Amino acid sequence: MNDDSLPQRALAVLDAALDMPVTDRDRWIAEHCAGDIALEDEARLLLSAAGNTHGILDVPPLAILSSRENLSIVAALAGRYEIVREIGRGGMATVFLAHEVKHNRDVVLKVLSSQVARLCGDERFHREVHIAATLSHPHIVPLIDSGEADGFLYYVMPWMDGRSLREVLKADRLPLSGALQILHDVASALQFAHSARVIHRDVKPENILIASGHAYLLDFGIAKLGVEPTDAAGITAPGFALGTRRYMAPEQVYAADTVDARADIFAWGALGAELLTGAPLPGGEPQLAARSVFDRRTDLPEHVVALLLECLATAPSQRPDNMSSVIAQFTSARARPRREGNWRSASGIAAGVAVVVAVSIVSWAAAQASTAPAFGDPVAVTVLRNETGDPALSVLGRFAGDWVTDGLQQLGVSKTVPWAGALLASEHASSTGAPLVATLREETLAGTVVTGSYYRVRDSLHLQAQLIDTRSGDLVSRLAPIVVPISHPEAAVMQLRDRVMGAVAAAHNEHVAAIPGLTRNPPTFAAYEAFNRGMDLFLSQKYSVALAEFRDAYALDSTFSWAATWGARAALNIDSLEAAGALSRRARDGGPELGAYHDASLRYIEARLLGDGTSARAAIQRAATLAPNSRAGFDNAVALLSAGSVRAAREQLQRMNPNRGEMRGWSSYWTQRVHTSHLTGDHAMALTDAREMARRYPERRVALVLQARALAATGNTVALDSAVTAWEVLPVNVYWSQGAAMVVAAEELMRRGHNAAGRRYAARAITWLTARLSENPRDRSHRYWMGSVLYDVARYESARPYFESLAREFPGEIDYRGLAAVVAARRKDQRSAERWLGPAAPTEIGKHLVFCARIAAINGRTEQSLTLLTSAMEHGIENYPWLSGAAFRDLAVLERQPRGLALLGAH
Amino acid sequence: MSQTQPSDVTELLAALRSGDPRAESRLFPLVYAELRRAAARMLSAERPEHTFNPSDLVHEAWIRLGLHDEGGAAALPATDRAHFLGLTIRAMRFVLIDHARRRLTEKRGGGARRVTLDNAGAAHAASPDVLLELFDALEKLGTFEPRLRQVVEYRYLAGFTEEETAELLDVTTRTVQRDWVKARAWLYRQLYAEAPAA
Repeated sequence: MNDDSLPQRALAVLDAALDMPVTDRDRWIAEHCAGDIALEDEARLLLSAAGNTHGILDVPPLAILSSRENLSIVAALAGRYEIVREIGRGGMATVFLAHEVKHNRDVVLKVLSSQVARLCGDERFHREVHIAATLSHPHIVPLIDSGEADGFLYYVMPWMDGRSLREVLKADRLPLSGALQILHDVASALQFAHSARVIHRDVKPENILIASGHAYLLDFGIAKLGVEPTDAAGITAPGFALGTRRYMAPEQVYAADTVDARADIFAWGALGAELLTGAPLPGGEPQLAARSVFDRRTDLPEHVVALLLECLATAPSQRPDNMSSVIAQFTSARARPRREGNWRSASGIAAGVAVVVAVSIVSWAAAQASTAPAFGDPVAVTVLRNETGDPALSVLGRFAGDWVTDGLQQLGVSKTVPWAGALLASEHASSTGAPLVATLREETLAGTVVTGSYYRVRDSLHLQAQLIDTRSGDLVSRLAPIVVPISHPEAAVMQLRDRVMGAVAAAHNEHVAAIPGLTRNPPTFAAYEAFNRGMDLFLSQKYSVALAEFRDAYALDSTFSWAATWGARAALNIDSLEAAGALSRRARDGGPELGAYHDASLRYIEARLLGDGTSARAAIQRAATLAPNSRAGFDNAVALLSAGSVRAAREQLQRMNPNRGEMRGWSSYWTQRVHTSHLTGDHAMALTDAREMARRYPERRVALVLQARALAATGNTVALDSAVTAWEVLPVNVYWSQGAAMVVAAEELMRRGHNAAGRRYAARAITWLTARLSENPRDRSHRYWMGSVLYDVARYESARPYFESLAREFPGEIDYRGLAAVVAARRKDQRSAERWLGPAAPTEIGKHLVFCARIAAINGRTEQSLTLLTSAMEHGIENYPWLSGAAFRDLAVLERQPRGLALLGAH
Repeated sequence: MSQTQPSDVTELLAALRSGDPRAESRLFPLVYAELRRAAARMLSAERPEHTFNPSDLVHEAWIRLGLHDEGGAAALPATDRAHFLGLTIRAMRFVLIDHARRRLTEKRGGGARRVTLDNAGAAHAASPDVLLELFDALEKLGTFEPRLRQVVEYRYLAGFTEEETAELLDVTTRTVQRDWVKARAWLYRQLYAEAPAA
């Protein structure tokens, strides 16, 4: 019996025990289990659990979801306020009518939603409430109390017998005089608050109370504590949920933290337009929208209209400077008699100029933003179109919208238009025949809209969906089609939710979104998550675990061909050629048609697998041209470098931005940059970049070796000595160890003619490595560096056992085999040299040819060596920049010839 | 071959009775939407002091779907009704999970406060997280004791009485009582494993 069946068996024991009298059950279980301790324990736990009368099954599920918070609030405030009833609930707060015990009066008590409470925090809440409480003005509803009770943040206002302006507007149309009176009251309240440096930020009919013929502004300064209200009341009052943004200044939507009083001026303008025309402003550019409404009305005071238009300017700088000047214009406009004629003649031209300025600012901002992954927030999900011809399936489209919206809200990486708002806008569009995307944009200010439809093919339901940018109308992502059996329509909805979440998550992840074309055919969310983990591992150069994640991502979503491509890339980096081949074939065969960039990237991998360096370079260059700041740009630089095109590689790297997209967090970018500087003789730049790399990636010890090389290249032994001494405290058992730095420094010093210093460093390296090897004789990297430094000082027979043991233990490593071969060549043992070197795998042809060239040079066959080296360059030599020291010593004879000098002498 | 696609609930029920497997796929969205609307009404601010019985919700959905009319669910044989009820409960679970998740999102922001109320002794053991865990545990229970799972769904999620549940499952009331005790014990053991009730 395995443990999995234990709960089941224990349940059977319980079943039998229940037939016993209550007092005998415990004993009965002990006897019945007969020494099976695990079973006995489990059965006893079940028996005791059966006696629990205060568990979840004793509370109806809806009670758990509805009243608990209210009950908690009632309890938390008991003694001070008695909650009479809930009178409103929004995204920001729940509003109660309450009775204040101490003063025996009715009050309005607002309890901040926990989400808002979290956003603002206690301290900020109390600070803002304190400021708002100082506002004492005839048209501002005062705050009379605030506090925190059992985790709830609340504030209290006097109860006034009145209605919100929203309710008034719903009931009937305001007369012009009434509208102007309200506007004046609100303007004066705002002017007062602004003089006290308080901005309201949420002026709208819902926040204006009309009592005894006067207007009172509510919730001063509180609005900015939370996100914009996404009100549940929107379900019953369409104007409310959708209207919230109508009064919000454009700058407030995108930079809520930096707005000033002019945001309130905008909102006041929007309020005025609605009060004068009887309807909220239509969507679109606010000033143009207002103009189109006012154009149809000749009965309105022209200066008020002109003032409102000015307040509605998109650019804050085009609005009146402050509320005082608004009031001055407003009152003079009210006092001024109406003139016949066209008010547009003069002010229209001025406003037209303002619009041009505003539009150019907007397009400038869009151009700036395009350097970052462009994805328009918030996201709205529309009702999917039912094309099955079966009206009974219509509800599926709404179910899908609701469920996908819920998924995006849980994902939390983007702003999401609440389902109530998106539903109303979708239905408005479908009932009026208005274009869906434009309607969503206007009514919900959505930046991206998810649209789609479903249809039926025999017994399966097909669902297709896409993400559309509402500004340009362009397709952002096309989701892979979903097909499910018609008997399980909800399965399609689940898949859709997963895909939309994947698309939005990918678009908001800089590293993933930077991969050209990926977000166009986004993966499912689960696949995205695996891919993202793979990317993180890849960036920290843990290629084999990264490979596993990429494989998982592809297994989770077989349309996700980028996962296969990245898997192939990771496999290539760890020389798993078979895996790389299989994955690159999958990327090519499965999934949707590859984009040009993806195709070129894949060709690069395929060519490398075939050992075709020329085609690989051509492919990656093409990909790099298509997307210069991408991984292909980097790969192109590496390919150029391995072919000896140092300057071109350097230019490529310098064109790229290490702080953005795929290069951010990728330490090897800096390694390659240092190499290009080193190889062009710019050692000062090499040193600067190596230090920058060490600063950014302290765990990358290669940065220290690069610093040592740069210091050695300039012959600055004083700085080198102090650097190497400073590194003594670091851990030793790493590939790029202190010993490695000493070896590389010694090779560089000798190559630059600082022979004495070079020999001193070689001796220092031998001492250091000997000490390490006496502690840890099997250490692979210590053995490698020991062999190298012995070779550098021409102690070939001493180097031999290190290289040969490594080559025997790691026969797949061309570097070890090659060094063993070169040592054999030094003893004139040609047969052993050939045996050690062996045949070359396709990906290591370049390196293999370099070793052949070195052996030829050692044997004095200069011409042959030159030919081999030229050929190696054509294939591309991986890690070519590390060919310093030993290799250059072997190949030094070639520099006596012009061709050899051209190949090697530049460095 | 039928010329018309049944779209009305009553027709769908008839189709369900006659064994048309596609009827279920059409009914599900209808039931879901109806439960969703009913839940929204019940969870809204209109009646905050009210503690809802889930059967209110189910009954309201049934009424609005016309199942209490003549020729509706009442006319169905018990097995078909059970089938349809299963559908309703599946939809109900969607609705409840949906609300529980939303609640949790709000709650997480609030910073895990635990309020114990004198007048609601069970409150500490019943929260939206526990509700979601309950659905998972129920799923697990159903893999080896399908009837226990049904009993919990009918009694707890749909709010039916022991007698109604017995009729729907075609077992005796005594069996329902026994199953309920066993299911509770097993579920509470799963949910409150670290701190078994004393």
